[in-house]
Amino acid sequence: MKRIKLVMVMMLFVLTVFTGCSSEESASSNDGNESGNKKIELKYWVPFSGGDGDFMKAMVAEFNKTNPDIQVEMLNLKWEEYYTKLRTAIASKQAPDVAVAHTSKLGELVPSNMIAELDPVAENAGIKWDSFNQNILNATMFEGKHMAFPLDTHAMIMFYNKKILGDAGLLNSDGKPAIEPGAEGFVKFLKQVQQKAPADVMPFVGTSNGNVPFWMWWSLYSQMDGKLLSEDGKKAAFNNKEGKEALQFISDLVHEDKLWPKNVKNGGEIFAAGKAAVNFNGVWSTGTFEKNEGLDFGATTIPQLYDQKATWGDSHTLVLPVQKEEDPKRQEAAATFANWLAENGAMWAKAGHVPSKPEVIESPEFKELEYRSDYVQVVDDVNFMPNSEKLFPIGDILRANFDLVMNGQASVDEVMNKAEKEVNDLLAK
Amino acid sequence: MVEPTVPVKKDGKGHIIDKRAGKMTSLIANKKVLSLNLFAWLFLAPYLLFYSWFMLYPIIKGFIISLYQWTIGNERTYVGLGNYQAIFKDGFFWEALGNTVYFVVISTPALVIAGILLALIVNSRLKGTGFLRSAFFLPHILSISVISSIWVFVLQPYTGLMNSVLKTLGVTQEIFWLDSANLAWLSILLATIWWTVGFNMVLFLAGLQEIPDDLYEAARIDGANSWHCFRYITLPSLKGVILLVVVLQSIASFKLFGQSYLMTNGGPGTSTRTLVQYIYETGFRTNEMGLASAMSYVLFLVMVLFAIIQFKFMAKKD
Repeated sequence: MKRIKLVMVMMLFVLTVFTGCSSEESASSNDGNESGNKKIELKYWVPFSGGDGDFMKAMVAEFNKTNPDIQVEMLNLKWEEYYTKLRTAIASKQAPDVAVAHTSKLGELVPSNMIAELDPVAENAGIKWDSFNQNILNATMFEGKHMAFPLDTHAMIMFYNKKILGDAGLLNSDGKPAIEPGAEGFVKFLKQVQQKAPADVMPFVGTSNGNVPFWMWWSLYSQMDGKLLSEDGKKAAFNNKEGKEALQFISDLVHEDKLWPKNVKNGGEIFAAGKAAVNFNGVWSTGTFEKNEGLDFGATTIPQLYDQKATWGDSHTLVLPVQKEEDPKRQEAAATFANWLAENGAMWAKAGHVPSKPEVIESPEFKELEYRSDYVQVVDDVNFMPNSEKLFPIGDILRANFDLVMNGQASVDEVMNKAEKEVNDLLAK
Repeated sequence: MVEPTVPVKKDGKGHIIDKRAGKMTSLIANKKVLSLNLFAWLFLAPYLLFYSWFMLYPIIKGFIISLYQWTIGNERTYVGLGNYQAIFKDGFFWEALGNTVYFVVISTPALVIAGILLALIVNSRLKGTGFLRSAFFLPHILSISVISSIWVFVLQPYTGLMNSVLKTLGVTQEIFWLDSANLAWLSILLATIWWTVGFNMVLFLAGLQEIPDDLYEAARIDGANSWHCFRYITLPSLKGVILLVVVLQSIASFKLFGQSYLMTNGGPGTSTRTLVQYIYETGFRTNEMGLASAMSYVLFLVMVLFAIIQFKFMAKKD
């Protein structure tokens, strides 16, 4: 008898383990039924583990308050694992209804059929495509189809310390830095900072490895109208005179003119601490820098050093992941939500990003925000990287190679040849 | 519970065996054995289920994936051993494998020796060993992202703690801890020791406390000094634990990923990129799932090979 009891206890234990799973499932399917009748509940994934997350949370709360028919539940995932999880969720048919994706990631998501085309839903949801900035919008289009709702653009811009430049007499009467045109003008300006500013001030700063040199190179290379890949996207196209010149300029700032100290790991922090005159960084740093009370800074677009204005940038967009069963009602609700976010871009601009809709940029709510209007013209300067399924690993290759120039281990020619070969090998796979 | 009328013994695999069962051919005894076995299986079943589901199934599935060319969301194509062939021609793979083996070779002795030293310190009859014991173990409970941030914060040039301290000591030159291959490895090693040595220390401490005191007493009477005691009593008694720690440590070192990924991102260039990082990049950046699975299997084989060599080498000394 005792044994039978024991067996029953064990069976019970095993059963509870499984019922735990199944009850959850039935609960969620109930939700689904309910939403068909009245409220639509949407699952929304974002990769804003940094400071941006709070702004997005506030926007979702505001949307839920003003749109009682649609309730959005946001899940904030770590940036490093976001796309891995998103891809896996879509492949296993458990995708969220709507998710944030970078424009640079669309080249990977679209060809593998991970996200839905938007044109069928957009009309019913009242989306007006011409209300978006066309430079940002074009980067999200594939073969004439709309694949994403752009929320913003976040570009590389130039921050400068007004106090240091003012004390050195390098500010114009309008408070902007007095930089003469061209690459020489910019170097000359930084050299003047070096001479006139206190010795412990870095004339130029940025984190010396990873994204900053890569984005800077892309900005300068784009100013010379450079291309990353060949027309068909199957070959590297950056190992040329312009590509080398852009990288050489960055290398010279560090090694030749010693205007940018070597191997900096925390460029933004050093600028925020008031120990650097000029910092190239992403627009989102505005949100961080303005929290430093002692920091008197300005923000503007990256100076034009070569033939045309251009800068590195990317966009946060909203996409509709492919579902097990397509439900046009849910998709419309998701589109409505995405459009609402873009229309209320002034709230999102608090994080530093530039809104995707010109009407938002013209709105008083946006103009009230300090600094943002000073760099808002980047929306038209951003040169998006080309669509490629391999864009992220290509970036990894370029970053790793540029790091070798930045720490003085290799020459520009060496790394450009090496990077070209590595990218071609990758694309040939 | 079960009344043990028959002496119960377990064999190495955890099955309950009955010594008398072989002799007694009586049906009743056999029945008993059967029911005892049944009970053992019932107790094991929940674990076995999860083990098969979350360990065995993925391991087998991983091998199957390694025979395909596959990106999540796309159709897969069978390529046989093509992925394995591609690996052998991939220079980055060999570089990453070399980096990984290099780290195993430098980190395993360092972590074993440091573990023994710390265990000896906290096992001594000094005051405050309780505090030291927790202090040495404490970093182990921190997550990898926390310890990497701490060490980048300590080692970064211009504003880092390490260089500031060195400056007050009279070192005028900036030292770039994370920007040359050798120093970067040293930094990763330092961070790893600081993070994981506490665990080895605990294992050694358990080993030390198993050694009976009378051995030392007898040795002292025979005129042995501290070094003799350590060399001829402590070390031989710890042999089993040392083997265990060496094997566990080299497996852990083979799996190095977080520290190098977060502290140097495999850089400068690719000089500290480990195999696990390369597998991660292949699987989740380049989206070559089949290739990444094949690399994982090669890493697995290398680790098995290492473990076998260690067991052979260390067992011989017995």
